[in-house]
Amino acid sequence: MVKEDFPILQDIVYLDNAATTQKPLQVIEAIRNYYLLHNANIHRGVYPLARKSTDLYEEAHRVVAGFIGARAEEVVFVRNTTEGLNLASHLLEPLVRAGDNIVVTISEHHSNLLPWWRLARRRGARLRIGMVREDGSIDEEDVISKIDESTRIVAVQHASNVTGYITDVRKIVKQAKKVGAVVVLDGAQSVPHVPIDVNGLGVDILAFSGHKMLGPMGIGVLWARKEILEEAEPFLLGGDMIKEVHYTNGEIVPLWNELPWKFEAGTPNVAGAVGLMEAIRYLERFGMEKILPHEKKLATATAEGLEDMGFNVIGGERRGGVVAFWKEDIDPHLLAYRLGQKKVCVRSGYHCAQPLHEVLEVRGSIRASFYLYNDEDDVERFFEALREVVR
Amino acid sequence: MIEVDLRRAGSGCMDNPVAVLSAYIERKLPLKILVTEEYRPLVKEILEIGGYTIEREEKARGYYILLAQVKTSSTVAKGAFPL
Repeated sequence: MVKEDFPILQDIVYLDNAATTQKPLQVIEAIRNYYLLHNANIHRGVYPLARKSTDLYEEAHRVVAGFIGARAEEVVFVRNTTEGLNLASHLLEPLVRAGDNIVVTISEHHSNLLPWWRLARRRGARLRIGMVREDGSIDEEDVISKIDESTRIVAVQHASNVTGYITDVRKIVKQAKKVGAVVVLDGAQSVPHVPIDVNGLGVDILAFSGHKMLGPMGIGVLWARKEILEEAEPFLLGGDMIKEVHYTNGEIVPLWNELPWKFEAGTPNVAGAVGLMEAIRYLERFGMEKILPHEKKLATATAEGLEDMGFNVIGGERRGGVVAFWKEDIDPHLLAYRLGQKKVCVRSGYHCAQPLHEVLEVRGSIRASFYLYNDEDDVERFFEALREVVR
Repeated sequence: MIEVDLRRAGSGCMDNPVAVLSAYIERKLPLKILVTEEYRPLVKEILEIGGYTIEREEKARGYYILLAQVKTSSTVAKGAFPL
C-alpha cells in the first residue's frame, strides 16, 4: 500500500503532481537522520562527521548517475530544472554566434523557453519555434524542419506538463546530430515517470527536479556530457569549485576543481541530495517501469469522464499522467478553488506554458496530474467533487 | 476593511482574481474591492462562493468599487457552475 507512506494524503486528493509530488516517510526520515546524525559541511573538514557528510553527498551523485545511466562526474546538483536549464544556456553560450539559430518548441515550459530566448538575443541568433499538432502535442516533423546547418542547440521537453505528450526525442536527436547541434532535454516531467537512459536517448544535456520525484524541494540535476562540462566555464565562482587559488606575480590565478564540483560552488544542499537519493531508492523499489502505465490508466479514465461531462481535454495520443481541461465560461482558477474547498488539489492557469495556451486559443486550463500513489479512489473523489461544483 | 485593488488583475497563476481574493476570503476580512468591468462578474462569484455579501457597489471612473462583508454561516450560498 503505497499511500500509507504518505501521511499527507490521508485527507486530500492530491492531483497536482506535475507541480510537485508528496514525500514518503522514507525520504522525510532520511533528511531528518542527516541533520540528526551526519550534518557537517562537505569537502572541507577532516574529522569523521565531515567525511561522512561528504560520503553521503558523493554517494547521492552516484545514485543519480545510476538512475539515468550516466557517470557521477557528469551529474551536477542544482536547485531545480529551471536552474539546470539556465546553467545549460550558460554552458552553451560560446557555441552560439550571430546568424546561428536555436530550436525550441511552442509547448515548452517557460523554463525551457526563456533561457534560450535570452541566449539568442544576446548572441544575435534566431529562436526557431517548432509547433504543435491540433491536439497540442509536439509536431516532431515541424521541429525537425526547423533544424538546419546553422542550428547550434535544440532544446525540447521530454514530456509536456500540459498535454502529457511524450516527445519522440530520438527522432529529433537524429536530425540534430546530422548538423552537429547540441540537444538539451527538459526532463522535469519525464524523469519521475519513466526509466531514463541518457545514452539511449542520445541527448547531450538533461535537467530535472528532485521535488517532482518524491524528493525534497531545492535539489535538482543537470546532467551534461563530460566534454561539455570540461570545456565550459563555471557559472558560479567561490568555494569548492576551485582546486587552488594562487597569488602569483600580483595576479589571482585560480585552478578549477574536477567535475562535477567545478559547477557546484559554495555549500550545497546536502540534505536535499540525501533526500533525493532516498527518493530514487523508493522509486526503484516501486519499479520505474510500472509508473507511467499506472498513471496513464488513471489519466485516460479521467479524460474520458471529463469529456462525458462536456469539458474540452487538451492533448491526445501518447498521454502521460497529465490531463488539462477547460470549458468556455468556467474560470479555471475559480473551479480549482472550489475543488480545493472539497479537498481536491488541482492546478489552474497556464501551468508556465502560456505560449502553448495562446496557440491553442485556450484562456487557461485546469490540470489533474497523477503519480504512483494515486488510485481509482482519487479519480472517483475528483469526479464527485467536480459534479458538486459543476451542475 | 481591507482594500484589494484588482484593476491590474490578470489570468496568470498568482495575479488572477481568484488567487488574490481567496487569500483574503479565507481570513474572513471585510473587503473593499476595486475591479474592472471584465472581472466584476467573476469577483462577485468568488465573493458569493466565499460566503460574502456585497453591501455596496459603486461605479467609479473606469472601474467598480465593491464593499463586501462575510455573511452569517446560515446564509452562505452553495452555488455551482452551470453546465
